[in-house]
Amino acid sequence: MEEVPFIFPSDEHTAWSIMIVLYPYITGLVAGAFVVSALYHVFHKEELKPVARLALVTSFCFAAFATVPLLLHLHHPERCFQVMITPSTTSAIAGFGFIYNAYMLILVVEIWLVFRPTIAYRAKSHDGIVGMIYWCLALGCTNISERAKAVDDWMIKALSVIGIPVACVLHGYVGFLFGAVKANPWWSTALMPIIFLMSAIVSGIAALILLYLFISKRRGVAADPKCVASMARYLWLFLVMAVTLEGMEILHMAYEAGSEWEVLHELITVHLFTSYIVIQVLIGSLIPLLLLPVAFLPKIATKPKLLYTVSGIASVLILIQVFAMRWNVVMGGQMFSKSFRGFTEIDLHWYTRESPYVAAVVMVLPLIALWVASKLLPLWQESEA
Amino acid sequence: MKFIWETLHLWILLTLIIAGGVGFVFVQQQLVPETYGDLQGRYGPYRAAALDELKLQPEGSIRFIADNVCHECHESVHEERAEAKHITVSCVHCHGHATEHVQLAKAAVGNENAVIPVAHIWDDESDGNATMAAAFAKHDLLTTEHKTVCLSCHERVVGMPEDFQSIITVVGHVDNHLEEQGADEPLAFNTCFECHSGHDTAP
Ligand code: HEC
Ligand code: HEC
Ligand code: HEC
Ligand code: HEC
Repeated sequence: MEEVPFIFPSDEHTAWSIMIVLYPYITGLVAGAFVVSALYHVFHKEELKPVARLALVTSFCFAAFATVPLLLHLHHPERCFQVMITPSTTSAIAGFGFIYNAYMLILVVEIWLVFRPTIAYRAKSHDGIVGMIYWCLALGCTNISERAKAVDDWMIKALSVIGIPVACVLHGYVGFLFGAVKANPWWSTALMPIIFLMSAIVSGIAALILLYLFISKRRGVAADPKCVASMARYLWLFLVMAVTLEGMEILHMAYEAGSEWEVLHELITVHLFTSYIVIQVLIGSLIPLLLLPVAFLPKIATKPKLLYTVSGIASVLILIQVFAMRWNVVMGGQMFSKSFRGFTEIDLHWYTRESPYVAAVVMVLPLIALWVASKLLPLWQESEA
Repeated sequence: MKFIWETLHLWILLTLIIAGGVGFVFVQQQLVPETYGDLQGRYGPYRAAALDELKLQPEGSIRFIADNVCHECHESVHEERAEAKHITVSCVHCHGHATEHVQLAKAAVGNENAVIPVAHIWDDESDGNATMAAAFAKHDLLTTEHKTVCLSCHERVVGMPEDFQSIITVVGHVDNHLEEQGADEPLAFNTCFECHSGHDTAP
């Protein structure tokens, strides 16, 4: 029987704009970049040392703007503190303020400890207002004796260890927000937090590879091929996990072929054809999966040009893939009616504060912050000595 | 002692964090509105006093007026509808939100000279063929025999409960129901009223 398409009146408008796509995208970069720094601090991957500081500061810069898309989406952004002043214990979104702040605290303290020797040194060596600023940043305590440094190193390690689960919770939680919507079969799956987490790590590593290659070029310093190769290998590994999970999820739904598969099938093959099948799967996942194994070649460190080209291209594609994935989750979930019998059009809100133009600006803000941070603090360890 | 001196910066930091935490809790406590959560067990987390404040709002600012307010003056309509199945359908569905009407009518009680504006009559030609939504948004009080009002609830759509008293319509607005019942003017905007009336709708 040919069924009549039918959508509920409440499904007609897609209330969640591109800002809600951006929110998991940015928090993903935060969590992903932090994992890279933890690989160095906790798992002692010495080859990642050149990017360890960059990773921490990148994570911070993106985290500082993670709430901006949400605030832009709200009609009453000034009420944002309400979720922390009168939190509802049964509301999933009410947890965000606390998780986010806990993560920011850990991150800020860790960054502070990592850069403390520099801050203390500059507080002592500069006069006037600059010296004052660094003195305040040092909290008035410029002691950098060996003993103090040893304690700091221990603290950095401890914070990294604590930071890993908190970063995972931060992003897993974003996945949970979607996964826990039981009325929406495109979202409602216990795998959602893990899928989000894996793609977060993937996007974080890809962003760091690009930043590292780009900044090295700008500084006129050769990037460390060992470091890039190592990141590319991790990127491949996490990409395999992310893509497998994303694929399993779809396969699972297709094989179960529950009543909702009817509508999801059409969603994927018709309405999300370009952004899902073409961009997310073919261009964004398949090509990087085939490209990145180059980093496993035994003598790859002696061919930096090839390595940089391959990992650069793969990283760009992966950043697009992860954005497409967020898009497909957020927009896809709103495109079909909960009647499971009809589809609605995406409204991009072109001329509002939630327009894609504004989204582009929001994406640039963390990079500007990173640029400012690089002026204030030495992101490169070699230049410190 | 030496250890504390060497790690002084960490202690300063810890003090700051604790101070920040205490400060947050203090500010948070100050900002929680009074009576917030007093009815937690019954209605969930919100300001209990809000209920009383809403009750005190001037009548005109309330958008939805319950039927019993209308019954105060239109007791005959109440009686007409008392036995009808339509008793569950609010007056506002067919007569507009009527907030101004109630205000004016209340002010007019005991005042010989007061005029209560007559209701706007919405039919096919009025308002330049305005849609139902537009007509209802524009007029405070209206009476209408337009079939779209009836069909907005009674047209059978996918997902409607089987036993809901609905009629199947065909594109082009020639309704099966009208044919079966042998309506004289099936295309007229007020065709339903050949056989049904607004209040006691039973045919
Ligand atoms: C299903 C639609 C519908 C509902 C619900 C409805 N009415 Fe009516 N009403 C009509 C129609 C149609 C007319 C026009 C006269 C007619 O054809 O019966 C009307 C006319 C009237 C009139 C003027 C004529 C008369 O009979 O005195 C009053 C007053 C009135 N309604 C009040 C009410 C009140 C009060 C309620 C709620 C208790 C109510 N109506 C609910 C459809 C409705
Ligand atoms: C304070 C008394 C009062 C209240 C409350 C009241 N009305 Fe009326 N209404 C009147 C009076 C008086 C008239 C005009 C005389 C008449 O036709 O009965 C009237 C007339 C009407 C008419 C017919 C107007 C016309 O021009 O034919 C409708 C329809 C109507 N009222 C609907 C309602 C509805 C719906 C409500 C509730 C939302 C309501 N009224 C509440 C007093 C009241
Ligand atoms: C707001 C929704 C709504 C509107 C508007 C509405 N109705 Fe109804 N109608 C109902 C409901 C609810 C019932 C009761 C159905 C049931 O119990 O299955 C009903 C029942 C009926 C019945 C069956 C009565 C009986 O005794 O068996 C008729 C006839 C009817 N409506 C005609 C009309 C007409 C004519 C109009 C337009 C003037 C109209 N309705 C407008 C909701 C509406
Ligand atoms: C020619 C007379 C006539 C006209 C015109 C007419 N009806 Fe009816 N309607 C009836 C009769 C008679 C019944 C009861 C027969 C039955 O229960 O099957 C009825 C029953 C209904 C029912 C209840 C159906 C059920 O399943 O119990 C609804 C709803 C209804 N009519 C709505 C409308 C609407 C809306 C219009 C205008 C588009 C309309 N009618 C026009 C004569 C008519």
